[in-house]
Amino acid sequence: MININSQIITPDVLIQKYTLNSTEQKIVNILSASDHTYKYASEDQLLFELYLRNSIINASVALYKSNFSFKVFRHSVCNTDFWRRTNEGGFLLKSSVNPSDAIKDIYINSSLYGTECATAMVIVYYKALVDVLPEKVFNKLFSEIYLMNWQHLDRDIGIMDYRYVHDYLPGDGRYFKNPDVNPLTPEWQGENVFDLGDGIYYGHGLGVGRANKFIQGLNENRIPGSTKSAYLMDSAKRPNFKHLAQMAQQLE
Amino acid sequence: MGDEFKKMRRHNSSSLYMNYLDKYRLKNGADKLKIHFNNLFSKNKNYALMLLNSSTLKYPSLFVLKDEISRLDISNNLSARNKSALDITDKIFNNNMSLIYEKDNYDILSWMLNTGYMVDGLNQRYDELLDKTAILLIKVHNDTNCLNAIEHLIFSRHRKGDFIYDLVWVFLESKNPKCIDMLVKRLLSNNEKDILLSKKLLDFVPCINSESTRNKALLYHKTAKWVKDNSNFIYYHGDHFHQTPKPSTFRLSLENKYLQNTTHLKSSENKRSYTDFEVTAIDSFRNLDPDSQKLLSDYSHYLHKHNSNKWRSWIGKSISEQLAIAQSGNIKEYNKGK
Repeated sequence: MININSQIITPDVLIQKYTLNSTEQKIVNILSASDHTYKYASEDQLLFELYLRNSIINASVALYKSNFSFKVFRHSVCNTDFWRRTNEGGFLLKSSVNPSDAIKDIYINSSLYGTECATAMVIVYYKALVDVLPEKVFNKLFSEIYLMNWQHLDRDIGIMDYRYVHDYLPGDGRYFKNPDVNPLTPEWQGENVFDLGDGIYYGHGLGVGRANKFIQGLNENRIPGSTKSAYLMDSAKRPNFKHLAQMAQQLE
Repeated sequence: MGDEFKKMRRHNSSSLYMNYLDKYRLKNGADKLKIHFNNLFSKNKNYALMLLNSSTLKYPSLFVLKDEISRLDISNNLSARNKSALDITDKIFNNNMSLIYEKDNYDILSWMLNTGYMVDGLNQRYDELLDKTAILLIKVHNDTNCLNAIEHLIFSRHRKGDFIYDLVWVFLESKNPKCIDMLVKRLLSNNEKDILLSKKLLDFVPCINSESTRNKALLYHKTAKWVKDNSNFIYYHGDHFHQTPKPSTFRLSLENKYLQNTTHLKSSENKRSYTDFEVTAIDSFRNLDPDSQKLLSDYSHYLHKHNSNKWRSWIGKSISEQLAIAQSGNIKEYNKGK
């Protein structure tokens, strides 16, 4: 159920704000139907989370549809007008450019970029935030961006990997693990994905599809003779929506 | 190059035993070695081949001369070791699946890594090759002798900001307790970056983030003590950097610590299966909040170590009685001993 400022909220009022079968409606329905109480200090706080989750999904789909390619870190590529490729294969924002322009460029000049799924996840988060936050706020909050993996995601995004969650929600980050990966292709030791809702996921490298698509894709990259299948882990990654909502409000 | 030279000096006590081609490469670099080898070959083919096929040659020199060997069409004159090493090199670059099946590659792979890791950074392809060699040694050949070399590579690359993730992954995938010991020792490093990486990988140790890196001796002491004390209950969990923001590389089994049942580090399975009594006890234990679970497991471990008779009596009580005892004055005694 949804609790806003200590009051239980029925989904009807919230649902009316969104178009039928929209991501936001689906999320409200999941939250309302849950045994767990999802607490928000204000309606705006909840609306911001719905807005950002929807933006994560849109950024995922847009990246999937772009010409952004899959390359292992050792051979990753980027547009050097905006980014400096580091020795470990990450992309470091150049100090002379606007962070928001640099993030947008990945989608505009997508064919100039290629890397692994962990960086793609990070890119999706930043793009989702570019689309949600006023440009001024985004550039102030994220003046130094390093696109690599979870270790380098900006602290203000407040990403957390929750071992157990009450409900999986569209916009959650999930992970398919491949415990018996072929040693010659360690890049397939797992696939980071976003939950797009309705049982569909996006993962850079394997694309968009249901869980079995990812499991099958990873299983094809197992050590020969393995009988241990890839699987979807229970954990879910979520940014600190409440903190981001607060920061957006404060900086605006 | 300096590191490699120092290490060779240390191992041989004198560079006199070093292969001439290795010595030349160290002094003049890879490109000049190629030119020099061509000159040597044109003047005295047999001498050049003798140097190349010498048992003292290190893999990096062979790797550097790979294209020259092909151009001079002398592959058939190579020693069996060199032939195999170049064959493996090609197979690694082509992700050739036969490397998974060929179990007799071990000695060559081991030679490639152990004589080659000090030259890490030679070029992108070479570094990639080192990574795959390390992965094959651990994942296909279950080798643990290469762990020191891999650990060295990880930390030296991390200092330079180079790619470490495949090596970190395979280092931990060895599921070997030596890895934990090596990481703990890195806490004493004079390099701040070493300590930070080590702390990240030892995140399962409770005290690891409570001490400043400036107190490294204290941090090392506390961490080493905790690892030693809990070694029977640590298991490999398998999280990695690309997977999650705070990877749990290893974890502590609170349940087994509570019941004093050893956990296998590799499989996370228990050494002995639970008795009926233990199954019931574990059910109650799982219903406790995390703080109470930690208190009970710590107390159980302390009591078991210091007074096994008292422990047997305590573990036979109800979980609420156990908690009451652990929360009472006895825990002061426990904390004193910590």
